[in-house]
Amino acid sequence: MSILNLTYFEIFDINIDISIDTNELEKKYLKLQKQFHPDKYASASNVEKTMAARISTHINDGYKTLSSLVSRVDYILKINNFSISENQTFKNNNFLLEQLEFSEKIEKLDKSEYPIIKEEIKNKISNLIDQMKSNLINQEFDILYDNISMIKFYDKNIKEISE
Amino acid sequence: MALIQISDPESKLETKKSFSVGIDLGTTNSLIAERNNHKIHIFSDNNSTLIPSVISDDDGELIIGTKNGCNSITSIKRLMGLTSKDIKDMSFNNLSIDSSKEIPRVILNNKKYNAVELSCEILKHLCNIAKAHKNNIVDSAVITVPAYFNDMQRQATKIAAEMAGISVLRLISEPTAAAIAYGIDDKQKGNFIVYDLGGGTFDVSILTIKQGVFKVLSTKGDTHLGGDDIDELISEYLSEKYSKTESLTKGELIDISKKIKHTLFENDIAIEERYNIKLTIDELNNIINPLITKTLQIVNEAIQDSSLEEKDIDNIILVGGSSRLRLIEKLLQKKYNIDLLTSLNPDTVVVQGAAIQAELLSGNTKDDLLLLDVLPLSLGVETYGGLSEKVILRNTPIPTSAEKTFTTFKDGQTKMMINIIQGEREDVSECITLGDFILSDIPSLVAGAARINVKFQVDADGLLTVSAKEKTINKETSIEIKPSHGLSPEIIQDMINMSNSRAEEDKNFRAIKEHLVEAERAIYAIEEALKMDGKKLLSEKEMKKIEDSISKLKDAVKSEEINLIKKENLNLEKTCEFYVERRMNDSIKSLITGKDINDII
Repeated sequence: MSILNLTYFEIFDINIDISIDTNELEKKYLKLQKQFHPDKYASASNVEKTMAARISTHINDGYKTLSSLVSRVDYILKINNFSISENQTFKNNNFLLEQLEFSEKIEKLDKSEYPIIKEEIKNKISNLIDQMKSNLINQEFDILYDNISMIKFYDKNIKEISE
Repeated sequence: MALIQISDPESKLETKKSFSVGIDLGTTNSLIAERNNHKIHIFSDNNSTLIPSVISDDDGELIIGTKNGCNSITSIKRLMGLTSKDIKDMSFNNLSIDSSKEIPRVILNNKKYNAVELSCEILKHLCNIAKAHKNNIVDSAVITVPAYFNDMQRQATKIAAEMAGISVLRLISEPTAAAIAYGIDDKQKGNFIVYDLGGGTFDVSILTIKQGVFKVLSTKGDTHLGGDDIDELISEYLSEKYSKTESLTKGELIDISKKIKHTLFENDIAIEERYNIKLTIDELNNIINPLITKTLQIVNEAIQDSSLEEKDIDNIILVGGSSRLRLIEKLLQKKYNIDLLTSLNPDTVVVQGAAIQAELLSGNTKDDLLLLDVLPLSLGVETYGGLSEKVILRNTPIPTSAEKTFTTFKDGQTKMMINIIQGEREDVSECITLGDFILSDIPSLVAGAARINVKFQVDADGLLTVSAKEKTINKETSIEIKPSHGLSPEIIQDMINMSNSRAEEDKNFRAIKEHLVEAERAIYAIEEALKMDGKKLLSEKEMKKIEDSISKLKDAVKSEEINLIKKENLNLEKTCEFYVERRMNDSIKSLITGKDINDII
């Protein structure tokens, strides 16, 4: 089997999970790049150069994907063959209503109240993370997809009030 | 664990020596340096290591490094990688530009030159200086570029180097090079802001240096903001305040402004007696305050992108001649409340870093240094309605790749155009167009049935390659396209062919050497590898096939036929690809799982 076909979790030897130890990821990332970065092959033969460039790219792409929660969960869905395109429409109507109410609320709020709101959203996100953990164990990928979609909305909310 | 270690066994090619250098191709000055056994040597011309990036016409001959009245071109770097469309609203001090064609050309003594050609002349001059000192040929180089240079500007720099007969080991960012110099020569570590204000460009990079790893977290900048703009501001001020300056040409006034600026680097007042001009440091600070404030905003944005907080910053490195403006140090110190690193000369620190990296990449040192850089500007494609859809975000570690699938919107459609852009804005017209890519040979299917997978690959130089694959049940076609930025591959090849850059013997020597070295490397590397684990990883049949390819290449080397060596090199590469992959695969396992995590760093 080729390295390039290993999943990002396999490459970094990290258990497939919603939360990961980012210090461990960082350490392994540096260890791998110290071995495979194209600079280490600048005076090697072409066949090694090409291969190292492909592997180094794969490591960087994996590092990037596993570093953030959203891309990590999207990736977990992908390697579990959960096809996002077929479930593309996010149908959680209650949640969409909540989002509408939230936008209205934000407009009326004073800036001084933003930190409180931010805290509220962060709590919601950490609740969702807990839910996602059990949904992953139970292989409930439909619900997991719902969860991460909500987090994407919350991330957007946080970004809006931070600007 | 060494994969395949190359020690360059006593090569028979050593009869004619060549060496690797670091080059800082600057807007105002350029430098060339070598590092050998931990010692850096910056080559000098006319007793100065700063070689003015000036091209003059002397009776039809191009002279580099000395100004010849108005028959001179300066700050050519500002035009690198730009099209005539790009420069429509820009001002260029003292240059007369013909922008009737896609690539702007500078007029010098009735002749026209593009920025790549002129940069090539500067690079050739630098190599000649090094050659004269060493009695050796420069064959490869690490060349620095502004961190915020886009793909077109980087490509243009690489083409100029190739035209000058230099093989580019790596393009590295100027702030990163400066950090390497501080990290290696000055043994600094921690989180750094590198503030780099040069003659024509401003860059800031946020990076972490830890145990030999230089990790760039974010980078920002402005490729048209630098000392030239400061000279312009000063000269505007002077022409308003001193009516006597009316008799001066713009160029002369700029020269006076430059002199005054240099005096005020260290003094509190500058006096130009001939025109009775007096300028104090306070006046200067007032003039340049808006521009410096703008750079500080960019620093702030870079910190935000880095995911560090202001309190995490340990040090600030000042780079570039213009960073000698005392207002910069004052404002940075006030804002971040830390001391600034200035122990290395801001004019030479970039070339020092480039020389360190060149020594490392040419395999002449065992320094344990790893440079992890990022893509400075997001890459995307134009979508319906002139909007940009990002495919690779800025500050992604390089090398990197991304894929995007397109489909046809008409029945039987066999061609498709993709517009690839670089920049942060939503509106495509505010980004830089890297090129229109035409995918052809798409199988004729109903609308929406074709699946065209476009792959974006950014290499360690920060350069983009785009390839496309059409995947349907029955057919798979592949189309390879390289951005050319108005310079078609044919024109580039012509330019390279035409440039009588080196004596013919140098060129031939390089061509032969390259192929022989590659053959030697490959044979040595693979034979060593086979000894180590050939039996473990290969079947007898596979082993036999590889050994056959090796002996064919050995025969080719004996024959000294360039074309045959080339062919057998390629053949061996292909034959061994799966084996190299198996070895790397084997090593990755022991690297990650075999050890306690605490040993890993």
